[in-house]
Amino acid sequence: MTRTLSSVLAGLASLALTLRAAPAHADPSALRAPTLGPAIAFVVAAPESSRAVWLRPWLAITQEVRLPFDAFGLGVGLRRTLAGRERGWALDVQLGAGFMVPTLYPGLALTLSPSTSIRVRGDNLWFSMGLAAPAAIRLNDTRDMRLPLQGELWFAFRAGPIWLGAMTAIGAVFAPSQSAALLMQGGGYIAIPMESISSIMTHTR
Amino acid sequence: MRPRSTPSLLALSLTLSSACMPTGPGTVERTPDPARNGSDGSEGAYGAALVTIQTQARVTERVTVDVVFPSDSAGNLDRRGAPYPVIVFTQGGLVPSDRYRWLAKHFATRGYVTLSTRHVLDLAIFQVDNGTAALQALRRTASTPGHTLANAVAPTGPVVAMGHSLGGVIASWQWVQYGYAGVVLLASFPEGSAEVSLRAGTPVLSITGDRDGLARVPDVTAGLLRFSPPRLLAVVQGMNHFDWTEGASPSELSRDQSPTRPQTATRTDALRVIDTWLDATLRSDPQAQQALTLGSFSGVTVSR
Repeated sequence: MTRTLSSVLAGLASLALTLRAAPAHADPSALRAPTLGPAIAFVVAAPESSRAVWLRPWLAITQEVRLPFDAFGLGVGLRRTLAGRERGWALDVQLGAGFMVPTLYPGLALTLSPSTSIRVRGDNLWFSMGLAAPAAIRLNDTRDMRLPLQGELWFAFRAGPIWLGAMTAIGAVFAPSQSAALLMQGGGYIAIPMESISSIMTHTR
Repeated sequence: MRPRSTPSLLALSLTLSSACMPTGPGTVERTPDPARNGSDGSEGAYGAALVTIQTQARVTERVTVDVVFPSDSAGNLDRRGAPYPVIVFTQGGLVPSDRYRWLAKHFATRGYVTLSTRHVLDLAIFQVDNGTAALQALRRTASTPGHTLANAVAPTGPVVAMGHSLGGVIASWQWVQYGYAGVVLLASFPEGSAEVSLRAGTPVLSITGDRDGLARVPDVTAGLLRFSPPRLLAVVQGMNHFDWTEGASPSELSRDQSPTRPQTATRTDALRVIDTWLDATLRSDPQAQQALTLGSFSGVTVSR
């Protein structure tokens, strides 16, 4: 049983590692994916996928790709629980910052992604809803920027040591002197605690 | 977990993005013919070719732009008349932009570059500024030596906005917001809050059919009266709403009135007015300006 579980986890980890570069919008949404301690969260979504590697419970490195390779970015993320506790309800805030490279109209953009969410977590289920404003400003054409405001829902369940789930977001993208544009995002995600990855590596070595 | 893949991703992305920028000829949509003179609603002597370019709006969002331009028989830009004036076209709601290709081809044969952007769900209302992002991309492309579209348009050359139905609403907005030289509404009228008075003094053409079941003549007339002169309302006899599009579905036609004249006849009558208006507005053609002043067009009732 343990061996089977290890094989499944190893497979999922391999898949996640393979997808690590593929999963990006100017939005490292993986920062908001249900995880708590050190973990890797992959959000495979359209139009943007992302990965957050939580090195500490509060510090992550993020990667994002807007598919199909229209833009990709790299950044750091921070999070903090303002109220509540690990189980039950809690109020979290996250902040991402980094760079993004748009490829169709090539250039470099600065990204800043503040967000907040309310979560309810049980032993095996996780639900959260929140607001995010993943902004970007192009450095080679500063008239070009995006200032989105989106509402989002996350739902997750525990499968062994990992969390699997789905997310959806809808909102509007604002830009100076422009009309608001529609924003939609949807996809699935997987979050793997670092300790599980260590365990997988040990069992498959 | 080092992000080792970033450099390779960068290289891959740049390769992919450069692949999206054609440098060869466009797809020939119409071959040139010196015998065509472009008068009286007919095609001009240029050929018409299509190139699709990709750009980004709001930093990250992909915008796919179909550019139909005056071409030679091989699909290369016919440079004799370049740079050409530009028409930024916006499709009607839920109507794919390629269903208006017949219009773009016609304008190309007469020496105009038409660009139309594709929109999510074929609803331009959700991305009303994509047309201007497309125009900026076209101008950047036109300044790229060696590109198919090099020198096709001037960096600050004249532009009009044109749109059908819901696209006319967007075109009005673009005309106000971005200061285009004029606006053409095909079976449309501006939405209530559009600040059209800000562009008083720039020309407006509103053209519709008297058999239009969606943008009815009284509504289109009331819409036109919100614009300041110089304005022109042209009502094509026997034309309905979906005569402006190719491949109208039974469902679309069921919401429309039946046309009372053949589509080729109503389209020719409509194009006679539009061509004249474009020549007057974008080329300052004195004969076209005089024809507009006279306002006498076969099969069309003109008012101001």
